[in-house]
Amino acid sequence: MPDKFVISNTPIISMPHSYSDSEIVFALKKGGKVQDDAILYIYKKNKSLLLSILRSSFRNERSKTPDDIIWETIEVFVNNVISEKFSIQENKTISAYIGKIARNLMIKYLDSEDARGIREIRFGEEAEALEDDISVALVEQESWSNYLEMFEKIGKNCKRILQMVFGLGYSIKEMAKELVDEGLYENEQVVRNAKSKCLKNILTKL
Amino acid sequence: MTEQELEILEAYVLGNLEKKKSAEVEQRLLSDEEWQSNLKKMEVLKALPEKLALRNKIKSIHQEVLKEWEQESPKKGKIISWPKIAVAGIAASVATFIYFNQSHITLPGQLTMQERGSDSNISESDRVDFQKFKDAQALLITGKNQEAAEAFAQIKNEEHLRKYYRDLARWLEVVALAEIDKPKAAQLLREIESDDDFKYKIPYFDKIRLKTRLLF
Repeated sequence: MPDKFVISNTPIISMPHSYSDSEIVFALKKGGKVQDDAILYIYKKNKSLLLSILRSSFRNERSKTPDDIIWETIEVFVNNVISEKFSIQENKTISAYIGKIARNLMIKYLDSEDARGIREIRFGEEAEALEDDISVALVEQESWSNYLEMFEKIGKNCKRILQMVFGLGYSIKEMAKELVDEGLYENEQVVRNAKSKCLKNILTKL
Repeated sequence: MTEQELEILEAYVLGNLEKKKSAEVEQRLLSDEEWQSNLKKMEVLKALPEKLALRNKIKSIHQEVLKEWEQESPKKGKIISWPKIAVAGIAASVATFIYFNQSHITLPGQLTMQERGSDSNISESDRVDFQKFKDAQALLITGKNQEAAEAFAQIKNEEHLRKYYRDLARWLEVVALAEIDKPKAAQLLREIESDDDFKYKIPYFDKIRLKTRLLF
C-alpha cells in the first residue's frame, strides 16, 4: 500500500505502485485513508475508459452529465465491494467490471431519459440488456440516491440532528449540549422535541 | 406508533436497548407491520450518513483527479467544468477527515459553517467568513499545514465570529501545527484544555490521536 497520499492541487497525484485486484478489494473494505488511495488508483487505472465517458456525446444535453456517470460508477463499485456483492473471480477483472457498470449506468440513464435513439447509436445491439448482478446494484444505487435526496431536503437542522443521532451516535444530552452551546436551540427539551419531529418527518418520507 | 414506541425502536436500531427490552421489540416485530416498516426506515436512516460520507469522498477524489487530467492535457481543451461537484466536495459533509499518519482527524465544523445560512439569507460577510474557513480547511486537507495554521490563526481572531467557530479554528490550527511546529501545537492545545469556555467539542479520539502525534 502507498505510504502517503495527499490530495493536492498541484502538481497532483502520483501512485507509488500498482494494486492487484485483491488489494483493491481489501483497501476498499478497510475504509479510511487506504480506501481513498484505492479509489484514486481505480481512477488512474481506468483513465482511458473514464475519459471516454467524459467525452461522450450527451455531456451538455441532459440533467445528468458524463461526470455524474463516472462518480456514480465508482460509487456503485465501491458499495458493491463493501457489501460483498462483488468478489474476485478468475475471469472477472475489476477494470472489466467497472466498464460494465459504466456502460449499464449510461444505458439505464439514457433509457430513463427516453433517449433510445441515442443509446442505440452509442452502444449498439450488444448493450440491449442490463447484466443481472449490475442491474441489481444499479437499482440499489438509485434507491440510495433517492433516500439521500430526501435526506438533503428535510432541512438543515433536521439533517444535522439525524446525522448526530443515527450517524454519530450522540445521546440527546450530548447533542443538546452542542446545539444549545451553538445557540441553535434553547434547551435540551427543545432539542428533544425537534429530534422527535424530524424523525417523524423523515419516516413519513422514506 | 406513539412517540415513545418510536424512541424504543430507535434505541433498538442503535443497539442501545438492554437484552430483555430488545427481545420484547423483536417479539413485536414478528407481528406488527408498522413496526417492521419503521424498522426498515430507521435502518436506512442509520446507513445514510455513511453513504453520504462515501459519496462525498468519491466526489472529492473525482474532482481532484479530473483537475489533474485537465492539467495534463491542456491542448485538448477544457475537459471539465462542474460547479455542482465543486461545491459538493470539501464542505458538504460532517464526515470529512484529514489524514494524519495512519489515523485521521474529523473536520466536523464545515457542515455547521455551511448551515449558518442558506443561499437566500446568508449575509455577504458570513459568506466571506465561510469561504475563508473552507479555504483554510482545504489547505489543511491538502497538507499545506503552514498556510492552514496561518489561516486558522487569522480566523480565530475574527471577533465578530461566534465563539464556537473561533474555537473550532483554534483546534484546527493546533492540528495543522502538529505537523510543522509541535512545541507550539502543544502549547496551544494546553491553552484550549485550560479554557473552560471552549465551545467546540473536540471528538475524544481526535484529541488522543493528536496527542499521540505530538509525542513522535
